[in-house]
Amino acid sequence: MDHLLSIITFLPLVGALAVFASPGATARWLALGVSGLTFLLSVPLWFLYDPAGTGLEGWHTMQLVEGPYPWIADLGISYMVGIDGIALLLVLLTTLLTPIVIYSSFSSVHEKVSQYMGFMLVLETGMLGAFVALDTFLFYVFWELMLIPMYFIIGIWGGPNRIYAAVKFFIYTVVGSLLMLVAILALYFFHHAQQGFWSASILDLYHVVLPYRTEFWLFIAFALAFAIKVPMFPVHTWLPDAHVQAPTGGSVILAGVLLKLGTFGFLRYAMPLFPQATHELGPVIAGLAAIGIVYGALVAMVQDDIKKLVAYSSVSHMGVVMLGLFSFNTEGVSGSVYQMLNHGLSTGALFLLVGIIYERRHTRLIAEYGGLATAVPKFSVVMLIVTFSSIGLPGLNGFIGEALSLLGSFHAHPVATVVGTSGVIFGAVYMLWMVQRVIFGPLTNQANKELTDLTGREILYLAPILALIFVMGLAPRPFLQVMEPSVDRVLQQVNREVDLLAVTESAAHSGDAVRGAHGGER
Amino acid sequence: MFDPGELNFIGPEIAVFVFALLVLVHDVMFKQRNATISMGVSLMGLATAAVLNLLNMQAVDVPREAFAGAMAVDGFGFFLNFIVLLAAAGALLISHDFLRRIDVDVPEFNPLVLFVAFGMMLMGSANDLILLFISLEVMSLGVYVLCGINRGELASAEAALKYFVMGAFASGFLLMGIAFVYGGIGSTRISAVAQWFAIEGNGIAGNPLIGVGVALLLVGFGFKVAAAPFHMWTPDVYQGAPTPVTAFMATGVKAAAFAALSRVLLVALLGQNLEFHTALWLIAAGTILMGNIGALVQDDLKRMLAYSSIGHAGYLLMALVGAPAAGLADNPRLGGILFYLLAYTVMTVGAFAVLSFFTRDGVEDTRISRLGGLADRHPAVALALSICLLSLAGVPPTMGFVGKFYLFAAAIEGGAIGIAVVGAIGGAIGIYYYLRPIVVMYMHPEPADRVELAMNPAALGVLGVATVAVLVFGLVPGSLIEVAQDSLLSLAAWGGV
Repeated sequence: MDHLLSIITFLPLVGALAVFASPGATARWLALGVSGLTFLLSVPLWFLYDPAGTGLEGWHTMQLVEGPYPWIADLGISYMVGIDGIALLLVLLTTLLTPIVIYSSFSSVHEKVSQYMGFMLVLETGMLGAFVALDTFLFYVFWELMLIPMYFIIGIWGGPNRIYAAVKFFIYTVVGSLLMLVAILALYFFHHAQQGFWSASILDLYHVVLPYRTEFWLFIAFALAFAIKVPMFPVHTWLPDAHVQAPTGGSVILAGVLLKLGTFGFLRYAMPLFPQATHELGPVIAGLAAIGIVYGALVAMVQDDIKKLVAYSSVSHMGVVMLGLFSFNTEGVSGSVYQMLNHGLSTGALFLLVGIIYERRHTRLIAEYGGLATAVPKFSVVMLIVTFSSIGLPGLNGFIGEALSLLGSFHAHPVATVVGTSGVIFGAVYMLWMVQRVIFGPLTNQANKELTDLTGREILYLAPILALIFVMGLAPRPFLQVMEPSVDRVLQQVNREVDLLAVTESAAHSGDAVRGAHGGER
Repeated sequence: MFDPGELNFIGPEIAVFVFALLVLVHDVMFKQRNATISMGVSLMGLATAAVLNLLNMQAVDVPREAFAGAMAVDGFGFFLNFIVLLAAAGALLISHDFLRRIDVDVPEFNPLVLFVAFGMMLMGSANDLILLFISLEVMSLGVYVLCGINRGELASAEAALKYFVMGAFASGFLLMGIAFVYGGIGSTRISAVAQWFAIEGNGIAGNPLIGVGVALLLVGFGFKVAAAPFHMWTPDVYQGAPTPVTAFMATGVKAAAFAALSRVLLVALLGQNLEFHTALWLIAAGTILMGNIGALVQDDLKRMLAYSSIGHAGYLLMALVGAPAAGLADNPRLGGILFYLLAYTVMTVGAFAVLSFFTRDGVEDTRISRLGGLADRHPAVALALSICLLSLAGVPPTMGFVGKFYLFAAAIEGGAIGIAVVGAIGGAIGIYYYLRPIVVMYMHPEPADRVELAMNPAALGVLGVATVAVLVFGLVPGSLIEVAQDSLLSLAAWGGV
């Protein structure tokens, strides 16, 4: 299995072709089979990846590397994939959530089924590719490839305002990524000027040393693309629209995986590539993250639509992840990665649950519900557990991630962390208040009395998430152990001492090759 | 002086010309002309030219002059010939059924397309401004007629008149520019201009004749490639002309004009003078923004593509802004210009093939709303059009993306980060309007008064080939890019830059 990563990445795409061509009923099972097989194939990654082992020279945490196989030779672009401990966990999250989403869509998607299932599989390839790519060009291709299926999923199977939401989602993401493309290209030329050979591999590009001013602008270009994806305040406004309009499956993938690509992008690209700018702008980003936490929580509190509430809670939760990332220490970043997984699981589960009752009642208004605990006890229990996970109750997964992120970030940005932590308290408030209004209280609405409880199929696809919520809450050690060496290696890069003399010298060098990059047009 | 062996170098041009005459004779000789034979002979002419061009390409390793220096025999010209031949073939195939439907039965159509292609091919290889002007006129006169070929249609006649008046005006500018340059330098050879500039102390500054000449040349070319602020004619003409003609104009005319402009700029002018560089920067930025913003508000797909074609000219100019003063070899990424011209031709012809299906009672109806529900009725056509549009928008993994990537690379490698940022903004705007037809196809219901699509095998074939090419060269562009880069670098043989 020399090419396990590539097989995992492209299997869904190949499956998608078959799914597109088959009729609806077959397409469902075929898609489930393909995504299930992808998951099964990805499980061995956990065992093949050795946190303490040796990978690439200088990057021992980068393992299962394939390539580089030349692709566009004259710019040094090649096909190269590999994973570190962080990407490993996110790959597993993706391969786990996709079959769950596909299985859950059996009952919610009835029109153009084969297209929906096909797009889901294409989307999976896009996400996996973005996580495993070690070549910046390859990463960019996958990054954009994700957009197209998601755009169709929102635009065709979404709610009443779906087209607006789909276009907004696409435009926001593209604006950021086009500027990032310009920055990626600039990096190639700097790398060539300094090292004398062309390479698009991220591991080579890490060696580029830039004058501060240039680094600042390139960081901005990268950070904007990723901040939109996270989404960070104030470029988060596409998210509530996209989440609310998207079909359940789309929302789960969006919250579960797509947003993680933003934070993953910071960790893999923006921060280690531009250490000076990262440290310089760290407080600003931490501040925005803290604002996002509080703002997201406050807006979530006043929503009357459950799905919108969950959507805004994502803004809040991802703020915690960002705070952790910009702590620049092991606890903070590990917690942050942990929190990415938690958010993927708990918010994904919340969206699934919202989808489940929406399928039955065709409304998501909180006021329409109440007293579900007596009507649908199984549903209510699951909802409670997921809610507790989401607000970080000790013993469940959310606590570990949140605590570590905030602990780490307190060392770096005490004020922002204090503000952010208060937002976490608000988080408990709006979630519990929502649960109180939906699940508890008197069962007055006649329609709610006739609700059917979770079916076997629904329990089946929720079970893995619930299990992980407990496992990751009670035994975080294995997960942290897998990622820690990788986190340390990245931090080593982020916190590296920049040799100022080298910067000045290379500025003179690169000034020849990339004229005017730090001084306007020639 | 005249060496008959040099006729080899214009073999492709001769082939197209001779076949054009054959078709013309056939079409006027028989009262009931056989449209299929006429089409077949025309395509054979293009195929013959392509083969001859390929042979020339393999035979000529080192760029050389021909016909006493009037013509440059180099990879740049060969590459352009392929683009022109593809564009002509695409236009002919699309037109086959289309002309019957809009009830235009003129024997001149096919020969005119071939004559125009003949002019375009010469344009790409012209090393003399006079030859350049003449071939440009050969091309333009044919296109004026083609625009108005649907005489019964007011819009078509208007397009022809508009294009003719504006085009004649622009030709005047170009000719004046040539005259001024000749006055200043004493030669109309492009390579001679380059050599003149290479002499220490010679430059635009202090030589008003040259300055005025260059400015006039830029205006003339700006008009032909539809660069801002000389782009005003484009939307009306593109919309009014019959769809196959528009496809030919958007691809072939643009490619030929851009090739001539690139040759003049890269060989003779770029890297000489700061003021001139600023002018190019402003034209590029204006073109990118005008084209993309204009396209935002169009409800007619054909008109939208017209505006977007202005935007694409802008991206190409963006790459030229990054041309190095030190020598072409400094920035091999400029080969992206040729790659992009080819990519643009392929994806645009694909999109226009679909547009040609939309006629109602002999009248074109290309409003975007007409596309409603296309994904349900004809999923394959909708998918192919989506791929072409996404490629135009520059979304990976398509040929359009790789091409645009190289244009950005050329600009950035040349240090022109500012214009690259403008290009990125333009690209983001582009995404919005290119998504609109896709939204309508996949997410809107059919219009109530829908008409059956006039699908025909020829145009479907064009669409299929274009779609496959867009994907294949989007995924494995390597070898094609190398050819494009080598072809562009062949310009370095002419001195100057």
